[in-house]
Amino acid sequence: MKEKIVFLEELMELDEGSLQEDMILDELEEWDSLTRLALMAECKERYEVYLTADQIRSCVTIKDLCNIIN
Amino acid sequence: MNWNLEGKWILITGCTSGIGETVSYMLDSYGANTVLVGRNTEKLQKMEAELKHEVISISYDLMDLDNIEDIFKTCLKKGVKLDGMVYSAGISIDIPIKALKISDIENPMRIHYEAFTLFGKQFAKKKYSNDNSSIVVLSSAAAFTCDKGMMGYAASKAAINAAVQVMSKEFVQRRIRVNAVAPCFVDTDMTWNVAKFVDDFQEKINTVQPFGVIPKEQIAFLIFYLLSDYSSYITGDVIPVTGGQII
Repeated sequence: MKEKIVFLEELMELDEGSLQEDMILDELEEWDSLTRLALMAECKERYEVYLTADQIRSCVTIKDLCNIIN
Repeated sequence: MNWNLEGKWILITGCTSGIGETVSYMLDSYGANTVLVGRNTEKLQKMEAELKHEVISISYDLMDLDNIEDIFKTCLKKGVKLDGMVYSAGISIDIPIKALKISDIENPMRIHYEAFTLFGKQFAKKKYSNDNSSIVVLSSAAAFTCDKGMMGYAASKAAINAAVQVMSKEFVQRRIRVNAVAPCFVDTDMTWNVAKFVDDFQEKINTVQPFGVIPKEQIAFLIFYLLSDYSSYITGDVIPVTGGQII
């Protein structure tokens, strides 16, 4: 989980420690359509995980996002 | 002047989905014989069975730039000299620059611009096409709007626009016309896949494209017009279809 949170912080160009599991994605300024697209590309590249738009949209919290990347 | 395409042979790439598929059926309904070029063999066979006029179907991956002439050689072997070409093959890669890999730039450029240029090169050979024929390529309003996330797509469509103008000048002696259609959002799977990532897509469409998402038939009919005798004096043009969006 920690590793995925660090990955998301890098993706959103946030300082390490900025993101917590229970944070609501829609309340994050950095969580926009471009970030969602970047997430898909980076997951494919780094983890060989192919996320769909629907999977990403179904996530409410940082923890949800980490779980689908797993 | 003939309003229909009876007796004419039109090559269509990207014919197994989206605008290319709609164009194929529409041109057939106006009397055209078609050379269908696509990757989906099953779909090609289905279309071959459904279209009313003559069909040559060729399975081909446009990422292969080395063997494009084989498509035209196949036509020649079957006694076909082309009267038109619709280059409709395309891919949509929406990635912000910060996540861009080189393939996200190279692949759209390869399919949209490089392969199109090589198809144009072969089409323009006297042995493969008739004088007074017409090439139409699918460009995009993205070449002008250059929205976020569209680096590879927008740049490759802008390259198509330049290619159209160069080709039209080089092919003018044989009166081979070369034009592009540049739509905004069209009702295709490609658009709806992009829509999943755009916040409030419907609201955005209502604002920026007030006539709404463009039906594929509108684009297909414009392509048909550009292939017909009635557009004999149009060449080197990129024709936008904006749905009310000012670009």
